Amino acid sequence: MQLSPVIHVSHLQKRFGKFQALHDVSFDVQPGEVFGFIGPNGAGKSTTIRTLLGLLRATGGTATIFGKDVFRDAVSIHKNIAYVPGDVYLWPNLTGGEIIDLFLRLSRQQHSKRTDELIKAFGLDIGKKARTYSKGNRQKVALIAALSQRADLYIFDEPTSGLDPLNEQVSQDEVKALKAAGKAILLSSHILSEVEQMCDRIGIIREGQIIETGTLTEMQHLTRTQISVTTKTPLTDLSNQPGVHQLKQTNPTTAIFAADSDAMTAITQYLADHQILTLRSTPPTLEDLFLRYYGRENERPVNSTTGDGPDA
Amino acid sequence: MPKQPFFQTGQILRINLRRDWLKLLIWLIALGGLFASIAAKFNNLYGSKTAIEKITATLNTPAMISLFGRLPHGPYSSADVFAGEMTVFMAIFGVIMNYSLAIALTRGDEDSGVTELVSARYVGPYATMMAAISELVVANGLLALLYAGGLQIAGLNGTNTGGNLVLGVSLGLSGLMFGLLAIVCAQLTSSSRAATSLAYLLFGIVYLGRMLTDVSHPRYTWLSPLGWVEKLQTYRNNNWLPAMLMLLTIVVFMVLAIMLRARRDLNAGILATRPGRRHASPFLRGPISLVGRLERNTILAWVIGLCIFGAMYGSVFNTVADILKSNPITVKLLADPHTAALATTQVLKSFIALLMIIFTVCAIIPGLQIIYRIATDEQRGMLEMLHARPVSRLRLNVVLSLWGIVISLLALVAAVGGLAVAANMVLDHPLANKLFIHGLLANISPLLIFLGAGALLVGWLPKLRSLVWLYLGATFVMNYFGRLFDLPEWATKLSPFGFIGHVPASPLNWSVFWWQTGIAAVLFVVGLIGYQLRDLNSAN
Repeated sequence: MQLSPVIHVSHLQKRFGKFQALHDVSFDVQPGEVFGFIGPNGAGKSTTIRTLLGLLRATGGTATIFGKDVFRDAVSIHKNIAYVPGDVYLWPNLTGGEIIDLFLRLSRQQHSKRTDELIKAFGLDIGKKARTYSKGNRQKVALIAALSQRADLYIFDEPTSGLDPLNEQVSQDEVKALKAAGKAILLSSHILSEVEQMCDRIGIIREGQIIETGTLTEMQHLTRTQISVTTKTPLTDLSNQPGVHQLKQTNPTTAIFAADSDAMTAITQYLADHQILTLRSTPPTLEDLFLRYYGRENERPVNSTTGDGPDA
Repeated sequence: MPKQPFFQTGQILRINLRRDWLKLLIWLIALGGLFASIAAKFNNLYGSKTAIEKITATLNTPAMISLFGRLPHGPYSSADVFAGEMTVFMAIFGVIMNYSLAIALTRGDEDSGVTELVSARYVGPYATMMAAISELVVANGLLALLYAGGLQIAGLNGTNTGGNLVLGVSLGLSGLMFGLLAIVCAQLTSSSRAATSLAYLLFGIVYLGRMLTDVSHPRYTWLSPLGWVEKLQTYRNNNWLPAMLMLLTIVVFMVLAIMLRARRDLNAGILATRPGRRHASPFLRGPISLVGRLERNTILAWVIGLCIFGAMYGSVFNTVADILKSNPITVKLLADPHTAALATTQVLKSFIALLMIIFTVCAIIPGLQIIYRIATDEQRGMLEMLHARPVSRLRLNVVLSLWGIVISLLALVAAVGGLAVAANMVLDHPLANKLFIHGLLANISPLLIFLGAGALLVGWLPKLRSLVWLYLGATFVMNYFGRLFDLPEWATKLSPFGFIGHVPASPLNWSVFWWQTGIAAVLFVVGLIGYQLRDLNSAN
């Protein structure tokens, strides 16, 4: 039996004056699913999320959460939602502790043992006025308020953008815990590794359009690993190997190239045959993905496709 | 870091001027233009002997002395009337301009991170501060030129070049002095909002000091830096001593600001921010208590401040009778004690009517600021997480509007209460409470219209919300000057205050009260509807 989706977005459009921010956005998030929302700056991730929160009014299409209209029924939807914005701004003369408690109470919940655990895990000094907080500390306030809240849907808009690596890890662990508890999560990010680790399904947005949705396995063809290698014997026919792209060879024994994930076994076998001296593999960045997906593959110059984007 | 403390000041000044030129231009045109255009009108307005006698009689009443300062002894020329009316008034506007510029250039840039970016370059440690001071020098210097030049061109009867110069230059110096005071405040506090509050608190003190001494003991007006401009004795002695005093104070403030800057970190103030509560108080649980918590100090400051403001005016009510006695024409009439009491009451009633408008304009400020949180906090991104919680737009907006109305009314009641209590303490024949209550009631409907206009704009066109401030400022100027300039009837009707009459000098008009309140209600409702429908912006 098909469960009804937590989030259902269908042909969503949003126009600001003359600027069409969202052209056509459609995706569903199922109960218990972590949906990764990726795309470059200005692609429309935040606009979509702000529309889902009822902050912006869609100019076309429909969007529902828990089967209710996101704009009309915002208040009743928000009872079961926790949200962390990408840029957190707080009232400067309140302390972090006061703001966390206030946010919990607004959602009719209380400061719990879990809240204290999170405050400890993130190492936030809750007695300080928000005006003295750095970007990372402001983000922690939002994260603690959202993570210690019981909700059916969690929406994170680039939740780790201001955190140091330690706190980034804490935050990712917490999201994984929510996932394990079977919560629906919408996670927007442009850190592909973060999305890869956590998300069941991914939606890619570019210039206000969802251009790809699917599970990680379905999208495997999108992920390529950057490999730089030095071998003992010359790599003469590397360019003929299946799954090798963007090959750059400065001399016969040194090569830098992108490898398709599904061809990895064959390629490493081929390299091993030439006696590997050094090998470094880098996971593809989102940028690589976009460059490949829109630039090279369609044989259009990269600049004309990425350079035109709003805010590119 | 370079050795010279002010290295690159010129470069930073140039960049700042390129950013601020429009703001500066608007201030210069507004203040210089106001000053010069009034000067140009004065030969027509107060050219004849009878017109001068009539206006100086008004200006010599305590009400006018408390607002504009004291005139020298007669006989008077048009130039004396101009200097008497405009000197303190322009000095006050100079303070407002300089506070706004100085705090934006120092704390404002620090709050937004500009100072950090600039200081990271190869610039002297005090270069950003010196650039701010230099910009104030440029602005006030140009203003002084405009003032003196405007007077020279207007060619009022009884002016002389020496007087034009001393008045123009001293107004510029006075503004610069308060600008530097604001920079000192910016070193003490740790946000532009706190710096502004502290600077205006100090301004309130020197204003009251000037007002009280002007009315009772003009000799002591020397004690208030705002009173120094009065001591120029423009067109009489053209005394440069106050200007010297201002220059000296400017140097002292400058050294003080640099010393304080040396003792503090960037983005911190000398007065440390205390750590706060680790957990919210049990009362902080919704929009109503949130606004109360956020605005607690501001509300207290306004209510107490306006109460003191009212009480100060009330405390000079007894001198009204004394002044009437000193006038040979009125003295004959006042021989009969009954007539004397009546005449005094009549003068006091008009004074109350004028004060009510000034109090109301002041009381609107905190209320409008609270209502404008719906737009300012939205722009600063603070409402985003609030709106993502189960708090409806309607609830938030209604809460802010009601808070705004309540605080404005509270501030007005505090001012009128202070006035009434202090006045009846000093008067031999106390005034009926009814007079004060009617005066207060009459001003409630204009107050609501201003707040309603604010609510309308934040609901539909939040970017244009400063129009209401402009309107309020224009209304204030019109009423401050109204009775001196014989404004045409239609001009006074441009403001909601133009319809209420001079209560308690004239009877309270309930029909005006109701239709104005009705208009205000419509403005509020339409504003609420707009806020229900529009997009909520993010911080960027």
